[in-house]
Amino acid sequence: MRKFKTVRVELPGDWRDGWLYKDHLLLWSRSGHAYWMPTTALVDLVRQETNPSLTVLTEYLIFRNDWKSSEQFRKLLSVRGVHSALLRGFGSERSEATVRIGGVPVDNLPTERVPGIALDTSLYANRVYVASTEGLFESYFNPADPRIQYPLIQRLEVRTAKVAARYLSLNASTEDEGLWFAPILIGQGYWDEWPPQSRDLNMDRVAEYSLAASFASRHLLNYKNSPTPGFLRAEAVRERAHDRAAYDEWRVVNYEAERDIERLALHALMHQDKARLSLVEKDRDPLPDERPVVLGNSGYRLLLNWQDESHVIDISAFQGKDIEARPDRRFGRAQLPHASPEEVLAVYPMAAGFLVELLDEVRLLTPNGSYLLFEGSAARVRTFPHSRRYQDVALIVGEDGCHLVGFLES
Amino acid sequence: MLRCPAHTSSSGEIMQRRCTKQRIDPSGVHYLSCSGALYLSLNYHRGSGKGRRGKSIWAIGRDAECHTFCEAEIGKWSDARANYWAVSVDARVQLGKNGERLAFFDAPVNVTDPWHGYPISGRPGSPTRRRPPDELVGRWLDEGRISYVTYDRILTGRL
Repeated sequence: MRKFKTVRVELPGDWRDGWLYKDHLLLWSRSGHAYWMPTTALVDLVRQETNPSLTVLTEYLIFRNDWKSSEQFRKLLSVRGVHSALLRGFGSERSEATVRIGGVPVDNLPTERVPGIALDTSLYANRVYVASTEGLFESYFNPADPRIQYPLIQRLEVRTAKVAARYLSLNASTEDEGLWFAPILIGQGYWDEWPPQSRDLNMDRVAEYSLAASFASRHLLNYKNSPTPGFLRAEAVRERAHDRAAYDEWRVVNYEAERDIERLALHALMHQDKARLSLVEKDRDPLPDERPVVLGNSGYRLLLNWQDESHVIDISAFQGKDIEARPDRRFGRAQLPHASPEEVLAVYPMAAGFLVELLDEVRLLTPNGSYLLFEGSAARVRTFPHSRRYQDVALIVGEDGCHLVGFLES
Repeated sequence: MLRCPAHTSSSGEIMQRRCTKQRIDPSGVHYLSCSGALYLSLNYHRGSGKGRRGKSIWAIGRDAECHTFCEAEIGKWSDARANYWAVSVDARVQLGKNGERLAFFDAPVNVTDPWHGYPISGRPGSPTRRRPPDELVGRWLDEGRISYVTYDRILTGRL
């Protein structure tokens, strides 16, 4: 196992949720009010609270993961003395450095309070989606000027447990009411013009039951009461999202009917080889008593428990090809610690691997080992694996504050 | 005899209540709850007896199971259908063998039927997944039964 160091910035307060988006931190209070602050202001506060080496490390590990993953940083670390100089703030034994910010100078985000209790939040393409006990709500966050007020629009009117937005698609899980999908339209007056226009956005029901949905590449994994999530293959096109877009991106336009992947996962695990859904679906043998349990996914990687061991399999559905699953070679079985379904509360995606929430701690699982990332109980855990700046950062809301946690695995 | 939790009445009086074991039959162990309701600790939620497949299994003893029911009764932790729900202090006690930390008690169909219950979880993949009503989870928070972290974990289906 490699050396593992974490840097944690602690923001005291009774927070409900938070999000790192572009160069802003957004926070929601337990009463439902939204706040924001630029991350540059947060870096200034870190600088006031600690020494220069820890400030630089905090910038790399929390606020600029694009710098951390750069070739320049890797080369710099290879220079004798640089690594130890950066880690000076840790001392010889400590694996965590903490920076406590006394008061958090946040500004009000001038948005309407979302009705009900907010259960989930997602920021994507400057849209703010809030899943609440009263439905699914959408508003807009203008990173160029967060002080501009935008209206709040209700998209669904049933309790919405989870929301997942990416690939210009919006997906909402509403338990018994199903999984709902709508394309995200950019330009043509959808939020991008002033005054903002409230256009109807019809959502289609794409699955009958859904507790949570998570992207596996462009496709969706639909978590339900079963040990294995359903798989919804995306129909996607590559195009410019709007007139001013500089490059093409994938747009999900629809999903095929949900498929059961339990047998597919089982075949990949039993034979430790690639399995194809169309072939394994022909298998009529009864499933064994000991069935794999998918604990969660990090993109196309599924973390499973099977026969009291942890496994990672990769699921794919390339254009013109079958839905396939294969053991992940990077996450070798021997390296994985046991993660039992009874102990794991949730799994979150990170660029480095899986973030595993347990009752009293949050652990990071990478191809090199399992590390303690946060000691304590988490009310909310947010990760941003697809962002440029925060791909390996965890935002953890605890009982008394919000914690931004970054790490260095060396 | 099992001592049920102390309960403060509206007049502020502290009441100690009892959960009393009545008899054992092939379906399980019969109790008289703190408030005098019939409670049956079923064998098939103990990993034995017919029809146990797919059932959640208690990880606590039978007396503690009845105690948990008593706490729900005393706290009036019921839903709109008069079912009871329970959680230990800040969900610290694992009630079920699959990591469940909540319990559900089915309201009897007939008044002469005993109550019974089983451990539940709100987590995806759980075979006996159930979620207590949001209002009740809010009450547990307001009453100091659970912390904010536990409140959020229950609401979002992680416990």
